[in-house]
Amino acid sequence: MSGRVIVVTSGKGGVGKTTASANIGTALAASGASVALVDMDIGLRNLDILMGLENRVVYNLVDVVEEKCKLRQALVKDKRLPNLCLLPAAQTRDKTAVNAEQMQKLCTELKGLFDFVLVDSPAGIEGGFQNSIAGAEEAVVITTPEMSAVRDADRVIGLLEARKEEIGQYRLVINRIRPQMVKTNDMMSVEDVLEILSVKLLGVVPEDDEIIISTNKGEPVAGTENPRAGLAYRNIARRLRGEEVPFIDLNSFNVTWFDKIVKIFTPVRA
Amino acid sequence: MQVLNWFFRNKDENVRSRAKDRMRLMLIHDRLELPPDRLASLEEELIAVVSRYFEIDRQTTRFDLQQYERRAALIANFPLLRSKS
Amino acid sequence: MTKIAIISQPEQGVLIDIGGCSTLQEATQHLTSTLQVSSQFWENMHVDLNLGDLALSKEEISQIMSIVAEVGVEPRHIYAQLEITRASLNAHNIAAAAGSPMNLLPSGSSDRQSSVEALEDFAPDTVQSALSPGEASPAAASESRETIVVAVESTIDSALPLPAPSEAARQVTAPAVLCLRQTLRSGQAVSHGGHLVIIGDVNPGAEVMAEGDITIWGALRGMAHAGIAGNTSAEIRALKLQPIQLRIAHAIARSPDRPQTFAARSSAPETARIVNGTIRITSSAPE
Repeated sequence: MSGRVIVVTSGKGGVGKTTASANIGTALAASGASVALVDMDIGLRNLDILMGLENRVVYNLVDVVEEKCKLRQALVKDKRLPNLCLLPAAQTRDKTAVNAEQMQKLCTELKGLFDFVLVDSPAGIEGGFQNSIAGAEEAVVITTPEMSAVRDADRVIGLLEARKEEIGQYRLVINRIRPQMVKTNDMMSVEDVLEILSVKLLGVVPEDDEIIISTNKGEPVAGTENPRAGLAYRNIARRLRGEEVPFIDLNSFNVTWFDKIVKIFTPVRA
Repeated sequence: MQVLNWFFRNKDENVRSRAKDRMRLMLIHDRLELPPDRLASLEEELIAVVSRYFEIDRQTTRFDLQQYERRAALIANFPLLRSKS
Repeated sequence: MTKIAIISQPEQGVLIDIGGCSTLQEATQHLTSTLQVSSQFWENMHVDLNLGDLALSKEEISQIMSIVAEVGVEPRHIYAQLEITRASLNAHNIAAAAGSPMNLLPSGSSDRQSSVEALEDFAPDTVQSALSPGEASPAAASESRETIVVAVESTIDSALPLPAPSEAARQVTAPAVLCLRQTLRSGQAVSHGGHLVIIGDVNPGAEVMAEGDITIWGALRGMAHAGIAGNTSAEIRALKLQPIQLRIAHAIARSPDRPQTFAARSSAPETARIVNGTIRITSSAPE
């Protein structure tokens, strides 16, 4: 078996990169593929918490790289999906504990075991980021429609382009879109961001309170019936698997009674 | 009062398009790693060169950075009045 | 490489490792918070300092040295990986020990090798209550918590007795009991070759390891590993025992997947020990 190694990255922190990794991984696994989630945010481990697996972590990625344990021993099986595994980051080490070469070797090994290897990269564009893209063949860039996030995403896309040989394609996920704010021209739209970044779109994830709830429960929304963010992530997974899935109409979301009243009172703007 | 302001906000106070314009300009500078004063000095030099051959209308001379895909283009517009002998 | 690790061995003294920090600012912050909270502790102690991969100028070295000197610590060895940092040390007439102090670093993780098999095969639906009241620890069975799941290697015969530090070693180097008066935060780790006492909390993401017992006068919310050299009679006790994971010798217990209800959560101090091959938690009421 030779799986695909996909790095999930963003440049800016706090745009939902780890949440996206957890959800895309869950959605891919739920659709039947075998998936390894690799947490490369060494020293700031979080993916295990989002997956609700923090109490099962015994070994971590650094232990594998340092050959303190076998890869199989460090993989933590998901609670719900038997074909989903997490390779946790080390919490009490820092990013210098792993180098690019070791990462490549690790990805090659994982690729032999799983259909998809999703690497959750740390924020920033320094060593930790460079290591996390070292073994990758594809990239998913996460951004939000905020200027600072778009700027950092652009920087990351530039760095990914410079590695065209290794990273064959990169696609964008726009997270935390608030349709109501786009409608009132208070926020950049999906089209605006795409036009500015000139990059292929993989998915659009609406702002959804369920994300916070699911984080607290340790159960990614993509594994539930959630019709907003959960559906968006399930669609992203389908697109990653090569299906043509139409983008959901964001305008159908977030129309609360308050929005409706506001709509009656506010004049339509050009 | 704030609520009223919110209801009757000015049409051209369009945060979205402003963000988009700022964003576009910022990214062009980022991608080219362009120092802020570089464009101004280029403008000056170009005007000086063109002025050697033509009289130009300085009022309507325009320099513009535009984006094509992930590349940037410099669009310069020199309205020529007459050629210099 | 931890952000800051205090690694202490009775025979060898204490190693303060700030090699995991990526900036001077980070290093000084960690160093200050660690040293100042437990200042008396450092008196007459054999202390080594590991600067790891930090690239420091002469001025930056003086900054580090003055933080250390403030609590009366004079490091015996200073380890530095980078040539530039060693040159800066030399400029202060401090001899830099070459390489890294690997002999002091804990080898706890290699001891875990055998136990992981048991943990990884633990399907969530077969999770059973590991703490049956009464039977396991009759002495202190007043209140047994039902939810800690235990996985343990069946043959724990490699257990080593806690090394008794020699009288001489006790005087010059670190004590058999290491007592730290500080809260350990995420990314911080303490490893000690004897018994470890923390006066403060151990937060999620922090790790405490000891060859002997671990006693926490505060809340244990991170990971604690007692008996890292294989001592199965080591114990972990805390005022509030709410760890993400507990390890004693080769046994590993993890916290329940569902958060405990308020009523089920013990408010009394508790002790974890190995009973019949599994980790059991009992109230630390007087026996």
